Amino acid sequence: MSDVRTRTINVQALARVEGEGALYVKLKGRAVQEVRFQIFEPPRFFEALLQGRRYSDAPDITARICGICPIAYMMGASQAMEDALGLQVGGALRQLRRLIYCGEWIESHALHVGLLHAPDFLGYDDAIRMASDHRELVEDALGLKKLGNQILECIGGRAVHPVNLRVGGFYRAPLRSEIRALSPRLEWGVEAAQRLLQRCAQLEFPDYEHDYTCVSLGGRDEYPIGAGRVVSNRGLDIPLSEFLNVFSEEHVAHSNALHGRLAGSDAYLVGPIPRYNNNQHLLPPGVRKAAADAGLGTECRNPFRSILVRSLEILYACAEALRLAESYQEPEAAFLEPEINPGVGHGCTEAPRGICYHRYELDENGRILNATIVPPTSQNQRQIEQDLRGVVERHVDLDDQALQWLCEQSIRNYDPCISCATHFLKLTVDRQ
Amino acid sequence: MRCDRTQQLVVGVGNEQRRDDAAGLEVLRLLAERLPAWVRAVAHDGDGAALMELWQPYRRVLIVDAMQAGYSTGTVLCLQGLEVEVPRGVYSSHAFGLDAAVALARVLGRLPSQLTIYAIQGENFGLGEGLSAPVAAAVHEVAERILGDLGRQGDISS
Repeated sequence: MSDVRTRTINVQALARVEGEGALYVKLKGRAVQEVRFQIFEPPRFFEALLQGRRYSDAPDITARICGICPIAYMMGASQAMEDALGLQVGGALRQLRRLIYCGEWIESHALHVGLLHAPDFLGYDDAIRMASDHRELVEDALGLKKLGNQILECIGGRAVHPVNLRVGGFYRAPLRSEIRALSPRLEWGVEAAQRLLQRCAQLEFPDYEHDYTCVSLGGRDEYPIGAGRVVSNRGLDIPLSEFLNVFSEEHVAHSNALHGRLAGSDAYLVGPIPRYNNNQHLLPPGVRKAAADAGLGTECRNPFRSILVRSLEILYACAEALRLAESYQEPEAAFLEPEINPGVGHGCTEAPRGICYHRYELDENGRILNATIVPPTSQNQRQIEQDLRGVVERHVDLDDQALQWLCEQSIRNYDPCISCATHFLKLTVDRQ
Repeated sequence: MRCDRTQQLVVGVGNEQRRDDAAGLEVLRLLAERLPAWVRAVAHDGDGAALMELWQPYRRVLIVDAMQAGYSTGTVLCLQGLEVEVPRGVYSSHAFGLDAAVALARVLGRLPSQLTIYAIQGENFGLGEGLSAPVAAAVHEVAERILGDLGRQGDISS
């Protein structure tokens, strides 16, 4: 009788993701017995913190949920409050919001692609060790991150926790000259993004595919960033007001984050791959050609190729930001002032990591009665665990060290922002 | 050799809402009225890529930050740029922080001519405001040491 070996891979601290996380995989022979993606930080209480605050406080408070994607939270909160108060923000203000959001996509994706994920594919522990041999890649990633931050500073006042965004628009609308001054750097950004995409197209991708339930915003005539209905590749097409009827969060024992669940589906995916799969027909012709040249078809099913999709989105965001900057006209007013009424509002935008949903209920004085925030990484939790099971099952013959590396790389496919998913930034690592 | 006074930068790194992680910012506050006019002082969130951009024009840079390195609370370490250990794989919750920035800048040739890091061992990095007592004492010590450093630099001559 053969002796079935039990292997346990236990990564207590997950390197190179925002915040902290851990991974536990148990194998018995060739069978995967258990997979757990664990969040160690205590849960956040921002939703409770918002209760009793004025509607106008929500963007600044929620911005502190994440230092890498504050715009996503500020936009989602603003959109939800505007929905609750019956305020329509369009025209030049809408374009300015789209421009600053491009800045966030650029800086978040560039950090991830160049400094957090590329080392996996090139066989390095981290970007520091990679930089000596791949200097251009690292310099381009740093330059693109700087460019994204410059956009945030120009429009938002500063890159971390921007101060110029508010419900109804902005406290101050930038001058046309200030926005136009971004153009030379954006032109460089388009070139750098093309280099980065071409470099990523040369990477070797582990063999793994899955038919994901892809959830994203659905664009009408532009690649969705700040607005849209919620759609999927399974036929879902709902207004934001239906979000909580279709999606739910459940608390799982081994994680402090809430796991997203879609009615009628075990797990679903949000982020660049669903955005691309559901909306790639809305990309400009030049970006679609770049996608094809990089080996991206009309649908991406390999999560390891997410680095390609992120690189493509950096290119799109630079090109779109350049278009918006060159066509920017100062708005008549920096913001629209709402009338205060009780009500419920919904907001949902495409954070770099995927859709981020907000719901608020306001009283007659505009104070928040209750708040619900559903970050993208918590929505991906269940899918991450399933991906890990699939990856391990396919690569069970690898030795422990190689398998551990592949599992870590798999989690980083999602660019998980664990500080968002748990609503907390505390770094606590339990090392055995 | 006289140090170029116009190229000196003091950076306080931290987060106001994470208790001892505010140590660097508190040092900056203590220095606010006492720094020579020719020294630039900047409060910073610690994003590594942004730090590398910030310090680029400066020859002499002093940075203050809280650390979690297993020392007793309030311990102050003073490191010169080349002494900072290259971190292996594990990053802070800021994802690409000060230590990684120093290490990467070293590889890319982007370190300032003189980089001094004051690291204060923290105890409580939870949500909220207020420093632990030993950290509160340490920030005063570090502020005095920085003033001493800058004073000595201003008088150096050969």
